[in-house]
Amino acid sequence: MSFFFKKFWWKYLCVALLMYTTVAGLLVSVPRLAIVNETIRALYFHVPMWFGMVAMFGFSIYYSIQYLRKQDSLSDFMAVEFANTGLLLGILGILTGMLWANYTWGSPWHGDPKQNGAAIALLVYLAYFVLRGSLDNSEQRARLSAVYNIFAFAAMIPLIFIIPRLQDSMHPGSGGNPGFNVYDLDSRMRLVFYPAVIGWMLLGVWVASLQVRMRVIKQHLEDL
Amino acid sequence: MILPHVSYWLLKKEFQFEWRSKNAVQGLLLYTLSIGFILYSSFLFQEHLINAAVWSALFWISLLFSAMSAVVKSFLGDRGHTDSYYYQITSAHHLLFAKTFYNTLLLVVLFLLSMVIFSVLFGSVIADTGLFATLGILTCAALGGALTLLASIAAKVRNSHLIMAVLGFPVTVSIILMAVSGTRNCIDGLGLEALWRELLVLGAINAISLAVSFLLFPYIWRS
Repeated sequence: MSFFFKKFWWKYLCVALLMYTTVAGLLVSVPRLAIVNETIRALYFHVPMWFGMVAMFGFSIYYSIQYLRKQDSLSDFMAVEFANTGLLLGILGILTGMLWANYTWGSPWHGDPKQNGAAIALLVYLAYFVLRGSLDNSEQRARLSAVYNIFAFAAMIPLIFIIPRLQDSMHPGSGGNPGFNVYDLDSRMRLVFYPAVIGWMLLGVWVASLQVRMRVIKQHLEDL
Repeated sequence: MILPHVSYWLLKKEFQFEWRSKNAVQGLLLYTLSIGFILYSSFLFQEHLINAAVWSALFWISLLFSAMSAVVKSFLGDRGHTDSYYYQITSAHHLLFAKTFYNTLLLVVLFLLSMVIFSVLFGSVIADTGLFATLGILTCAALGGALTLLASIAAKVRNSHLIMAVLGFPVTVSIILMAVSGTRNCIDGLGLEALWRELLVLGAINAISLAVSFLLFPYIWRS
């Protein structure tokens, strides 16, 4: 992905898509629904956070595997910064979700399976950073945290993909509640939702790329 | 087939080491007993509050804490020269297999002990003992598989016990959730039809964590 970092076109694309998301997401008309009302616009800002988080954690796992194969510090930087950005998007996703739940479910934390799953996913990555912080040797830190990253991701597969399907949920799109594809009869929301997903993901990659470059520069300075 | 032989030898060594320093296992049994008694004392004269949900949550949380303390020490004893000795005479996979199997057996012993303690203090509420034992053994295997790999990571860090807890709790949440909801069904005596989903998920977690541990353990051991 480092060749992608040096190109510029996707940064212009990211800015354009997010400006479009903000303007169209707040102004374009949306289906009128009881209870949900205008909060349906959370779709453009809350849901893309999760798409972005999963993509960032996916990149992080990929670079952890690359690190175990090649043992180079760049893969370690990529893995840790994608995890960092994924954590940021996850926290934003939880906060925007709590804001939405406060207006539609009546309280910010409802013990919904999706909320609990998301909170545990964040705990795993906080543990990842605690583990990194408590190892002094940089080579050992990179290797053990890469192992934990892969193992924790594998351990979360049942938690995220199986267990929520065994439980009832009030979340739109699960537990018999319709998702946006049922409300969105004329596909107007899709015109904003898909660009929003791509835009927020690109922003995540952008943030991670800046952080990786900072780490590379710091390492060069230390080597001097 | 050299793998079963070498793993058997390593497993025997684990038992011998445990037998030689009995205080570790005695401490563990006392730990489990103490947790059970603390839980009992905090519900004293309020036993009517303990329904199926409370019983199964208390049971598995106490077992999770005992399991953490049981498994974390499995690589701590091998620090220093013992580690390099194993490195010469055996492979990572043999060692992982022996440690995982030993930890699973240890957890099954703790599970049986907790069951005795809980049925004495809180009354025996389990309607279907056979199914509960099956659920317990599967849960112990899943916990043993997941925690053994984490213990090998934690052994490389200074404050191993803290790191073990921090790394272990989020990873074991799905196992404990399945065990708790399965136990509720055992208490109500709903039979196998109500329980097969939990058993299936636990089996899947077992398969995933064993496969991933097998792939990753050589990288931890190398240092």
